This record gives sequence, C-alpha cells and structure tokens, in this order.
Amino acid sequence: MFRTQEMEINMGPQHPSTHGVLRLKLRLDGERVIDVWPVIGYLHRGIEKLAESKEFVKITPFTDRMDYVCAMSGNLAYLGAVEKLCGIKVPEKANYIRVIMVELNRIASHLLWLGTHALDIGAMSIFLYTFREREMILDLFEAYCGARLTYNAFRISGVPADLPPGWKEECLGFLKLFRQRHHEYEQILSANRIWLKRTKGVGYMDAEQCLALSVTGPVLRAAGVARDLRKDEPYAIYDQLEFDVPVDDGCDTYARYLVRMAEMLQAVRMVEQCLEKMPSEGPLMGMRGRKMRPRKDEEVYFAIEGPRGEQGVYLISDGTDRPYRCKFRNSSFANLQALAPMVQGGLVADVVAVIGTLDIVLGDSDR
Amino acid sequence: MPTDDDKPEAGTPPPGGAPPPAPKPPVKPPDPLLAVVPCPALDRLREMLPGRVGDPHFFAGEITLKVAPDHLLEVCRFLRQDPACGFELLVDLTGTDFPDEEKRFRVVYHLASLRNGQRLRLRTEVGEGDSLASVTPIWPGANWFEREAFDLLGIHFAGHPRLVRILMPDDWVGHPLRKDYPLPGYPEHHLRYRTADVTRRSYVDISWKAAGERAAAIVKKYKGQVGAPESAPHVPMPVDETSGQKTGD
Repeated sequence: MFRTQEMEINMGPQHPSTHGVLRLKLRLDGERVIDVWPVIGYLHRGIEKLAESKEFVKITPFTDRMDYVCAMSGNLAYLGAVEKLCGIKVPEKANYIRVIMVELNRIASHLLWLGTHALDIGAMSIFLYTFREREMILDLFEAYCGARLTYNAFRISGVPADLPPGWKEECLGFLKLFRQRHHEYEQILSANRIWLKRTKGVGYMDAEQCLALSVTGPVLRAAGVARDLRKDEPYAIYDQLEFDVPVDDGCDTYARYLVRMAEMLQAVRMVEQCLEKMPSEGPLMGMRGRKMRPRKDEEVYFAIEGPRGEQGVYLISDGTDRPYRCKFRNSSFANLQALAPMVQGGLVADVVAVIGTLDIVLGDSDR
Repeated sequence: MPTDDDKPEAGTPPPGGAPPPAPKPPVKPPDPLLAVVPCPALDRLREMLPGRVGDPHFFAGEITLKVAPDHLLEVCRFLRQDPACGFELLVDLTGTDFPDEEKRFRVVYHLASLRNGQRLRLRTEVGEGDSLASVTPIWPGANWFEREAFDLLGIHFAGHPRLVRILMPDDWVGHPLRKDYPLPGYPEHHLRYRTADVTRRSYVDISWKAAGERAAAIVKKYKGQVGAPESAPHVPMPVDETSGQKTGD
C-alpha cells in the first residue's frame, strides 16, 4: 500500500541557511537524505588568475575578499608566505599587533558562526547578542585600520601603524565584558534542551574520516585530534603565548559547538597576554627593498590556523616581483567535502545544522 | 641607471677599465633559506623505495621531492601507510602551467603527518594529453582538489570517481589558469553578459491617464458578462488633465 519514491530537491543557491551562495542537490527518500551533491563556484572571481598578473604587494587586498568573515587571517597567511619566500623578518612588535588582530578576528568570526548557526536551527535571540559583541570588535578594527570588513591591515614585513592611543584600554574593556557575555551564551545554549536535540549526534564524523577528507580546524579538533598549527608549527609569536587547544571527542555538532566556544575564551587569553607583553617601542616594518625579489624557481607553502582550519598559501616565484603561481588553500573548500558524508542518512532539517557546523564561507571556498 | 634594487653583479668589470687579473670568488655565507632540514620520512622512503624518487630540494625549511608519474601511486601509498612516514593528511593538491616545458603541467601534493609532525611536498609532471593517476583511493579528500585542477588547468586524473568542473560553470570553454588563457577571458564570454539589448528596450506608455483609459476599456468590454462586478463600477484614477499625471494621493 505504501509507495516510496526518491525525490531530487534543490536547496539554494539563494537559501537563507546556506550562508552565501551554496547550492545543494539533495536526493531524498521522504525526510531522509540519501545523497547530496554540493554545487559551488557561484562566487568564483578568479583571484588566483588575477594574482598572477599583480605584484606581491597588490595581492593582499584580494585575500580580504576570500574569507571576508576573517579577513585578518587571510592577510596573515598570504603575507607569511611572501615573507617566507623572500626571507623577510618581521619585527617583534608588528608580530604582536598581528596576533592581536587575528585573534580578535577569530572571536568575531566565531561569533558570526554562533549567531547564524543558532539562527538556522531556530534560536533567534542568541543571534542578536552575538552580533552586538561582534560589532564592538568591528569598532576596534575600525579604530585601528579604518575598515570593518575588508581590513588589508598588514603589510609585507610588518604592520603600517601602531595601535592608536586609548585602543589598548578599549580592547581590555571589551575583553573583560566579553568574558561575561560568553558566560551568558553558554547559559542560553549549552544545556538548552532544544539545542541539545538539534545538535547531539547530528553530523557525526570521526577523526579517521576527517583526516581522509582533508578536514582541519575545529571540526577535526571536535573529533579528538589536537591539531592546531599555532601549537604544532608556531608562526608569529604563538610560541611565546600560553594557551590550550580545546579538544572534544564527541565528533558531532554539539562537540564542535563546545570546541569553538572554548576557542573564543582561549583567544581572549591570547589577546590579553599580547597586550601585556607587547613592547612599547620598536620598529613596525622590517627591512626590505622596494620591490620583492624572491629567488628564481622556488616554491613555498605557508599555513596558519584560521578560524575554519588550515589556511595555506602556495607560491611559485619566477624571480620577478609577481608570483608565477599563487594558490590559496582555503579551509572552507576542503571542509565542504565533509558535507555529504555528514548528512547522508540524516534528516533534511539536519542539513541546515551541518552546514552551520562546518562554518563555511563561500567566498573562501570559491575564491 | 641602477636603482637601489638593481645591484650590479659582484664580478662585473667596470666598462672601459682593465679586467681584474684574478677575480676572487666572493665568499658568501650560505643562504639560510637553502638549509637542509632533517626528515626521517624522507630517509625511510629512499631506503625502502630506492630509485623511485629524485633528490630532495630544500627551500625555506620545506622539502620538495620529485616523483615520476608512473611511480606516483606507489610512493603515495607507501607514504600513507608506512608508520615511520604516516602522512595521513593530504593538505593540498594543485597544478601549475609551464607552457614552454616538455611536460606542460606540474602537479604538487602537500602532505602532512600529524603523528610525526612532518611535511612533505611531492612534485610530478604531466603532459597535456596525458593523464595522471588519481590519489583518491589513498586520500579521498583529493576528490575536490583534483576536480579543481581539472577545471582550472585541464589536467586529467585517471581513476577519479567523477571528474567534472567544480568552480567554473559546466558549459565553460577552456581552462582559465592556463598561461595562454587571456586574463579578461575570451570575447565570446563577454557577449553572454552584454547589456545593450536590455537598455534599448522601449517602454509602453504607462502614464496614469493612459492606464485609466485602458482600465475603463477593459471594464466596458466585459460589462454584463459572467464574473464582471455589476454592482461596483470602475472608478478611474483622478487625472490632472494638463500634465496627465496622477493628482493628490
């Protein structure tokens, strides 16, 4: 009497919960997802092709436009690769400022993730609270570099400006406030019965699968692997800071929520240490020629721990001041591969939760 | 005129002057970028699979290893499975176009080992018509990276589960990251998005006066027929006779 029929449904590219322009071709059996085929590329702007025709210094603004939720990380990954290729040393004070900005941006990125992820699942109020705090961070960025989204705040070999007067006190005030607010978020969500129902056991992926699919970042750490490039391959001044790598072995959406929540507090710790330890005097820009002259026919890969995972840049030089090849290894692209195995066999409503838990930015994956 | 960036070569004789009798070889300190870094996995690989890989190249603390395309799968499988190597994470896979070389595409594999804390870059070359063995059986995460290399460069990977375009539209012609692909694209692609036809569109007269007349004509035409509202006659919009525009609210 009962007849089942498979159905193909299009989700996106204008679906509000796909966080950008992601299109999913879902194959459904009733409420169950049999298979999913993600279609990306709607935001492809050919940044890698463009980069081949530009000087090294002119590529930095492109990196803002890839992962626009955490543009500071994009800047740092690219500049780190150029500095590695040319053998440029960055002054200590510039490194401190870079780490402060990147960690603040990690908090802002995680706040955006928390708000939209919870909004997709059905918790409206937390969205308003997280955006309130994110706005404060954006105000701090605006005071430093004048921009609120696409910062372009660093330069090759350093940073262009010192922290403005009064910025440090503002920042410390925000961090103090943020610790309280963070506690409020946890009170709203961590033991919320609806939140637990929607996240526990949803989007399960264990460590072996994560590694096989090149998944990094909080998703991997929520599968019990303490992989963090800030600890494993410290860049900038991370080897001088005290922080923990939050790990959880739940492998599900709730575990990823816990890991990211703990990461925000670690970022607060790091910024506080940086503000305390930062030398008050010192150069901001290192020594370099007016033009970049890397060695001919060399290649480097430099990666940092972005808020979404390993964010790497691969450069090939041909001896000129332009890269012969500039490839961005962005974590959203790699992590999005995990979407299909995570949602297969689950319910349609959980697709939304899994997209949120992967924390993808489509500008990041499409480039 | 040499700028501060264009330093003259150290051994170049000045023009017009006599050449120096015995040019001393300039004693340069070794470049720290070219320092050799120890890598246990590399030693293990060269011991177990001799002749399969070329000499390593060291730059900025990174190791690049050349592999012939025929030995690629064997080397990758060994690097993945051997406990001393243990490269369980394929971080990145990408290609580069070198149109002047005999084998046109250079493909690199960035590998990372979490348990041993090592990184390694494998490098292989493939010609335009040839295909390279897919590493998806070893690292399933290579799936999208290989699709991307196929999409943007046109490198074919044999054994890939479904090698289709990923970033560009499915009906796109050409592979944009090739060096002979023009930066602004081909003119055919520009025609697709030409807006001239749209801007030249002529609009019908939509003044309020004309609209009111058209509405009155429609009401008149259907008067008395089934469904037409008999009891509520059409009230045309108030019209300013001089300008033809709507007056009041």
